Amino acid sequence: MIAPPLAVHDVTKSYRRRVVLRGVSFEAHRGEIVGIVGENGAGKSTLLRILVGLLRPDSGRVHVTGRLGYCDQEPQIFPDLTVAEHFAYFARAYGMAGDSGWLAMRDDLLARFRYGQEVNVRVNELSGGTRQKLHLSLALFHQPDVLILDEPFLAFDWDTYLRFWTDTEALREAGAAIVIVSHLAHDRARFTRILELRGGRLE
Amino acid sequence: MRATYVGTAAAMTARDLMRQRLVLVLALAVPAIFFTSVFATTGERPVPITLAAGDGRVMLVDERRQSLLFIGIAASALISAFFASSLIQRQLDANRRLVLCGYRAAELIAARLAVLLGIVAITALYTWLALGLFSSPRFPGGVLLGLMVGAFVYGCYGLLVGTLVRRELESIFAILVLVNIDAGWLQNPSYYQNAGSKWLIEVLPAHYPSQIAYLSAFTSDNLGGPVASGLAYGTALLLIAVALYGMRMRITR
Repeated sequence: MIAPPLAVHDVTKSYRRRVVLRGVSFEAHRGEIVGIVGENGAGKSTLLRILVGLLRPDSGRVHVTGRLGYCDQEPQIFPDLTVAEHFAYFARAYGMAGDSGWLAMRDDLLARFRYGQEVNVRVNELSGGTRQKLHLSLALFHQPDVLILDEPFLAFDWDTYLRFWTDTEALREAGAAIVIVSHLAHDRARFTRILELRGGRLE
Repeated sequence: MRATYVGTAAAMTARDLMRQRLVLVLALAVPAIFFTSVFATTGERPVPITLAAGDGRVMLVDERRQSLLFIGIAASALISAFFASSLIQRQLDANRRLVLCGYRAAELIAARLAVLLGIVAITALYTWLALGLFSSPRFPGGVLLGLMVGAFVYGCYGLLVGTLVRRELESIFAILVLVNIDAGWLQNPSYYQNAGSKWLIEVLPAHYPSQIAYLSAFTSDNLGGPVASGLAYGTALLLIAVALYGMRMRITR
């Protein structure tokens, strides 16, 4: 049996006396889009930060197999670097900078999300939506096996929102496991499964 | 440690820093303001000083020359510490994302160290050239060395502050307080001569750099001891900063 790219076992997390996650377990298999929804403060972002390794759980385990793509709610990018410089920087981080293939992948992402004309613009001069496009592009850049997204489409216009789903579904069809964390899950039909985080448990 | 990774990170860090135009202008202005203020408020009269690294003798030196040297160390220390702190604090989350994507924390800090050494060299050279407009030390190369060691030690202190505190205001406060008390007050050899608890003055970060600069400006004494001690002091601060930065950037996967 093939292990799922993302497996979460009995994860708990507390901040002082406040228990945020109580024995959370789930798996995301290849070709799945799993939605995790919940009210504000339900612990969605805490769960996400544990999934990607930014936060250590009090107990439990997370297994990620393959390349991880991650896009947080807040764009984690460099305001004084240009779009092109971000791609060059992250190409190095992903180990893709050794050959020029990453340039074609960059241009493809710029074209698909329609911000190629801003390739030499600094991030602090971009609109909020374009920053989010760059943020998402950097998560998709290395064609991840596991993609974890936190509220990825809040700043998108309608066209970009549709484009986001086209790309996400293409990635799913290519065999990636995708987890989308959101306080609202529009278009429920697009998800393979939707899990609700309530009282620290996934239901 | 992968050299290509460090090179890319250093290039991006330097670009990011060089685009802070206002900060660069202020960095250029600080030594000029300090020197002009000292030049305007001091005279060419002899004042007695005693150097901690010397043989304990009292020397009579020109008040203006001595004050310009003293304030030059403070200026280069201040600039270097601010830049170093900013190198760590700027976009900490984005840097952590780079670690998630494949960078090692050690490579990111090595890149910052490379940029810091560039800042140290430029800051010290600029301060030294500005100092040359107002004063002519006995051994100019030694004064430059003192400024460089001072910028290095305070640069490492800035890295440490950047790793310890998250917010800019707190780091500005931590840097200003120490530079002001240490380089801007206690290391003045006129003060040192009559100070009590001299050990306190001798354990502060600007002590060895100041001694290097004063020995070079007013004596022919050997600089080896203060240079080695100053570099060791800065390296100790650097190692603590590197360890703390590694902990902050750690990924649990």
